[in-house]
Amino acid sequence: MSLILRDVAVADRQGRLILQDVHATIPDASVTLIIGRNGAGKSTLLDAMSGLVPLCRGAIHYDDLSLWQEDRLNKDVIRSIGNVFQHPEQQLFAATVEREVAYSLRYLGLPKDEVERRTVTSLERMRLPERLRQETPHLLSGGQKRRVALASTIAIQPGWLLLDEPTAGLDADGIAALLEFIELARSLGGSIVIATHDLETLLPHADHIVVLHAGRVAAQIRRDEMPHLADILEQAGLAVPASLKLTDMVRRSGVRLDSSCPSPRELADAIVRAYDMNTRRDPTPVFRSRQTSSSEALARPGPEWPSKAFQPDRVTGEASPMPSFLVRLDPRAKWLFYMLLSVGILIQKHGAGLAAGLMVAGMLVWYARVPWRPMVKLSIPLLVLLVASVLVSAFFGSGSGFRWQLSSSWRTVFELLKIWVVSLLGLTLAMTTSQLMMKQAIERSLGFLQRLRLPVGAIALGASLVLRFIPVLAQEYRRFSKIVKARSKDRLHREGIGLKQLPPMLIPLILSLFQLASDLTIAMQARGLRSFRAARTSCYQLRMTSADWTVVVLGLLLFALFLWADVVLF
Amino acid sequence: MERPIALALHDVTVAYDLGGEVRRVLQRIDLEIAVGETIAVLGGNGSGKSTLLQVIAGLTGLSRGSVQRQEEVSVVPIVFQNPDAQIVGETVYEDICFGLENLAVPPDQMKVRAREALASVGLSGYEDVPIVQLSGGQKQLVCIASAIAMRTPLIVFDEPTAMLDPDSRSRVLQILEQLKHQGQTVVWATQSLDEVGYADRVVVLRGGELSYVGSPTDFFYGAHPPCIELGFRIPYAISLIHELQARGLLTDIRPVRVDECLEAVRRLCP
Repeated sequence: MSLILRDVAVADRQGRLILQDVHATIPDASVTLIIGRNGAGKSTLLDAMSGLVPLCRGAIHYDDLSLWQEDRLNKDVIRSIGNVFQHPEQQLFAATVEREVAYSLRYLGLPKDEVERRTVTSLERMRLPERLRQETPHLLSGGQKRRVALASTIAIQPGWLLLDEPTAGLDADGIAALLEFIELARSLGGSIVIATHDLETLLPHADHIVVLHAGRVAAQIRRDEMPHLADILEQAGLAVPASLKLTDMVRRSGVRLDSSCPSPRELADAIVRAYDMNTRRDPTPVFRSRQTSSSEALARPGPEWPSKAFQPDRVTGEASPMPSFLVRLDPRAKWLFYMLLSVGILIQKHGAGLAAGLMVAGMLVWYARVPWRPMVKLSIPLLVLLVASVLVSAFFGSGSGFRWQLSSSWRTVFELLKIWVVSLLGLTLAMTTSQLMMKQAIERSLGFLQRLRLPVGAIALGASLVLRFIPVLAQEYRRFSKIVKARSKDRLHREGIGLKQLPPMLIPLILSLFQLASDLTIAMQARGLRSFRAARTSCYQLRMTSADWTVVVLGLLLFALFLWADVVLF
Repeated sequence: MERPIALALHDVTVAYDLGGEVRRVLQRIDLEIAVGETIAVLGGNGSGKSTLLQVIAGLTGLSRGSVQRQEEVSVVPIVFQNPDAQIVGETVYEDICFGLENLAVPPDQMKVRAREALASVGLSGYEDVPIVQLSGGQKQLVCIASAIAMRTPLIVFDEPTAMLDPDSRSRVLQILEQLKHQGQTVVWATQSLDEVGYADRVVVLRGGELSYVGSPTDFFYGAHPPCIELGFRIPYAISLIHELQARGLLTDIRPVRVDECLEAVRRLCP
C-alpha cells in the first residue's frame, strides 16, 4: 500500500516542463522528505500528488486507486489527502476557530455531531484550550493561529498528509509544535510527505527521501541506505547538513554506527570508542597536544572569504528583448509621440485612413517587439465587445425592427478598431518605459503643481509601485486560491475558483496584501525615504536629446499627415 | 582598545494602547552597539525583535527612554526576510538607486556604487536585469546590495535567511563575514542558532525584555549554557561538542560555528 508515481510530467502555464520522467514509490505509514534546490520542482510535485495541477503525462496511484480517471479527479482519493501549505497561519478566514475547522470538514458532508466531535478532538490534539473555540482566529497569537490551521488539517483525518516547507520562518516553539504534529500524524497511521530544505530538523524523523534535480528524480533513499545520503547530496550539488557531515566523518574513520541518523549522544559515544582505539594503538597521545596548539586558530578563524567562487544561477529568460533605442528615449518624448499619433488615428473617418493608422501602429508594435501574450490579453475583451456591439447595433441599430443594419454595425466596428489600435500603442509605450523613468517624467512634467502644494512626488512613486506590485499580487492570488481549492476540494485542477470560495480566498488575500504594504512602507522608510520635500536625486537624468526631439517632430508630422489625409484626401 | 559607540539605547520602552489595554512590546532595553561590531539578535515570534530593529533604525517612536546615535547613523537600512516586500525598482539598478536617491547621492556616483555593491554580493553585471527574472535567493542578494550601496555605518538584517535554500543561505552568511572583516557595524536578527557564531555578541529577546547579552562562546558553553537554559534548539554540531566534552574530549576548545565544530571533530577522527 503506497503512493506510486509513474512517468509523471507536469508543465507550467507557458507549457515548459517543470517535472518529467518522475518515477517514485512512496511507502505509506511513513515520513518521506522531498528535497532539492529551489526550482527543482518540489512544490509542483506536491501539487501533482494533491491533484492541484493536471498531469501532461503519466499516472499517480494511491494504493490501487488512480488519482485521475480520464480527466476527472477520483473523489475517494482526494478526500484522503490533507495539505499543509507554507505559513498555514495566513490561511485563516472564519469568524471563530470552530468554524475554521468546520470549513475544512465541509466537503466530507459529515453529520453535525461528528463535525463537533472532530473539531473538539483535533483542537485538543493540537493542545488548544477549549475556551478558544469561540474566539476569532485573527486575535490569536502567531503560534496559536498555526495550531488552528494544523488542527483543521488533522480534523479531516487524512490518510496522506502533504506539507510544503513547513519549517520555513518558524521559531523554536513553532518547530517543536510542528515536529509534535508530524509524530502525532504518524501515530494516527498517517503517511506524510514533506517538501523541505531543512534536513537538519527533519532528517531524524524521515523514513524515506526523494531527491529532485531539475524536475527529475535524482535518487530515492530508504532509511537503511541513509549512510550514503551525504554522498548522494553532494553529487546532486545539494548542501549537506552538519549532522550528516559529522556522522559521515565518524563512519569513514572506521567506527561502526548502529543508527543511520545517530543522536549527538550516540555519535559522541562512537567517537569516544574510536578515540580510545586510536590512543591504545598509539601509546603517545599526540592528539591532545596537537589539539591545544590548534585551539587558538580555531577560536579565531582566519579570513576564509572568499572560500568558494560563487556562481550565480543563470538568469532565466533574456535580459531585455526591447530595442534599446526605444527604451532609452525620454518618456516625455514618447508620450507626446503617442498622443499625437493616437489623436491622428482617432480623428479618421474613412476606411483608408484607419488602414494607414493600422499600418503605422503595426510597424511600431513590430519594431518594439512587444510580446504577443499581453497583446492578446488586451485584445480579447475589446474583441468580445466588438462582436457584442456589432450584434446589438446590427439588430437594434435603426430602431425599426430586426433589419440588418450594415452601416450602423460598420460604424461600431470602425470606432472599436480605432480604440484597439490606440490601446496597442499604449501598451507599447508602457512596455518600453521603466516605471521609475515614468515616475520621474511625471514628477518633472507635473513639477509646477508642487508649487500648489500637491504631493506630486508621492503620487508618482505610488503610481510606479502599483505597477511594480502587479506580479506580486498575481502570485499571492494564486497562492491563496490554491489553498482554498485544496481545503474545499473544489475545482482542484482548474483555473479560477468558485463563487462560494471567494470569502475564504479574499479575506486572507486582503490581509496578506495589507501586511505586504505595511512591510514595504517600513522598508522604504529604512532606506531613507522620510519626506518628499527633502532633497532627492534621481538615477535617471531626463534630458530631451536630439533623438527625443526627432521623435516629437516625427509625431507632429504623422499627426499633420493624418489630419491632411482625413480632411483633404478622402 | 575601546571602540566608539555607534548607537546606544537607554531604558527604551515601546508600548501600544490597544483600546484601554496597554501592550508593552519592548521593556526597559539598555544596549550599546560599538562601531564595527556584529550583534546577533535572537528571539521568537512576538518577542519584540522587529520592534527593536525598528527602534535602532529610528522608525518607531519610544514610549520611554532614549536612543543616542552618532551623527552618521541617521539612516539605517534594514534587509527583511521577504524580498518582495522591500524591492522598489523594476530592475536591479533601479532598486539600488532608490536608497541612493533618498540620500541625495549625486547621479554620476550611482553607477559606481551600484557596480561595487553588486560585486560584493557576487551579482556583477546584473544592473539591467529585471527583478521578475531573478530567483528568490538572487532577489535577497539584490536587497543586500541595495543596503551596502548606501554606505551607511550601520546595516540591520531582519531574518534575511529565513526564506532561502541552504545554498543561498550560506552565500548570505559569506557576505555577512565579508562585511564584518570590512569593519561594517551589523545588527543581525535570526531564528537559527547556526548563525549566532558569526557575531561578536548575542542578544536574546524574550517577551520584550533582554534575557541575555554576551559573547557567542558564553552563550553556548559554561556550567549552565544560556542556550540550554533559555530553551533553544541547539544546533547538532554544538550539541555533539557538548556531549564530547561531557566525556572528557575537546574540553579546552569552545567552537561556536558549524565549520569550527567540524574541524574539531575531524581532528578526533583522522
